[in-house]
Amino acid sequence: MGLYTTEAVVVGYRDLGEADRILTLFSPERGKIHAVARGVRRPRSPLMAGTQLFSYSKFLLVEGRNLDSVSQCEIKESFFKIREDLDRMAYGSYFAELLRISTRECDKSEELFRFFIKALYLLQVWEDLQFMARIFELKLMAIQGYAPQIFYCVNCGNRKFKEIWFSSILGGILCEKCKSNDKKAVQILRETLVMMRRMLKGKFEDLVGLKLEESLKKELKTVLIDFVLHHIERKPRTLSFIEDIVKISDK
Amino acid sequence: MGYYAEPIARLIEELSRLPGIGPKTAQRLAFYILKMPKDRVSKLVQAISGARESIVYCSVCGNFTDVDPCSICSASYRDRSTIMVVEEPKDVVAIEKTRDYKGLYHVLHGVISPLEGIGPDDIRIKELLSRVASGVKEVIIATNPDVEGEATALYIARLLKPLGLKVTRIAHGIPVGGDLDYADEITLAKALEGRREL
Repeated sequence: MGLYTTEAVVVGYRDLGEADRILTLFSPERGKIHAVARGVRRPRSPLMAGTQLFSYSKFLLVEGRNLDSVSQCEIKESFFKIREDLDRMAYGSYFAELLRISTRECDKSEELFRFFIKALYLLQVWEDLQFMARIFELKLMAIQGYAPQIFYCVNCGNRKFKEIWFSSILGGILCEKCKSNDKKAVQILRETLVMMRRMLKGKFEDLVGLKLEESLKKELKTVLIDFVLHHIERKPRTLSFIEDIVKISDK
Repeated sequence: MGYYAEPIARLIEELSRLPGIGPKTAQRLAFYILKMPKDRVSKLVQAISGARESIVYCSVCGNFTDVDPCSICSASYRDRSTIMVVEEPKDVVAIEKTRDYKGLYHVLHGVISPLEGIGPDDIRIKELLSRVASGVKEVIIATNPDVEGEATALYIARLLKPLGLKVTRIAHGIPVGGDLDYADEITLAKALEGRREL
């Protein structure tokens, strides 16, 4: 039975027994791992702070037969501002869920880890969370190897468009001649395509201050959520929570 | 072929469905029950079925009770302008033990958990909304200070604030008998925020 230390961010958890929790951690060295934190639901547990959702901590883990268990943890960044705000918390849980369901266990990726931590830092200050979620979706899909082809027609390679259509199934844009290749393809505006290119190639932090028109945001949402759902094959639970919050905020 | 006589196997199976009881514990409990005097076994059976049959949800606060409305909701000396929102019936017991709180309760029977797919419609939030209409001045939200509890508190606050109610949250801080060294910076910051003059 070995001991090892790793930095990791808590991307999910599930209660176990009387006072324990199974944590889903995402670590740069080991990828997605599960570990038991014993007694963590008791009020005086020293593990409590570092094992909350979104906490970025340094863990000392003990290898077990089935599951590793947390021996110690020291918090590096709590991302408390995310937990303090209902909207940020909802989007943060959505990001964490997308990360969880799009990665396999122990599939390490430093790039993905750095991207996720950066997203959490930005989530604390970003104003237009809906737009941020779209960038997260697009960039996450690209890192996971599902980047959509948005620079030329995915079918014929044409770079000149009269009409632009987006197909989730074929994974990119289609020109007017090829649109019949996917009956479910949706027509998008040129501005939407330009924005998607900018979102995919630009740095996350450079997009912070952008103000988007409602119509553009709506179109990005339709296109990107459909694209994400096509690849992950089930609707994230947190997405309906975001919808619930939007409902009460509009009242 | 089964290893046990059929009634024992059935007992073990039923026991192992209880939370936190694995197959081995269920087996140990089953054998213990078999060795118990007959009258104690029948008392146990009666206690289980009696509790299950006579306990209902209070139609006002949602707590477990044998009379509806429950003894807390129907007590005349209780302050009807304050409602404390808690997650589970056991939290009512915890607060009652303090003997400091004289208002009413509202039991949610769960918390909003986006990760588990439990939304606001799955817990008793609607019932709370219909209760606050009648002369309630303050709603104290006493859900657990974890992510789900916090999300539930913020959600309820967002629903109730526009109605002009005072919505308060229980304090966060260092537990009595705790160790400052092990407290995280959030707890410490919250404790500092809510400090008091001695």
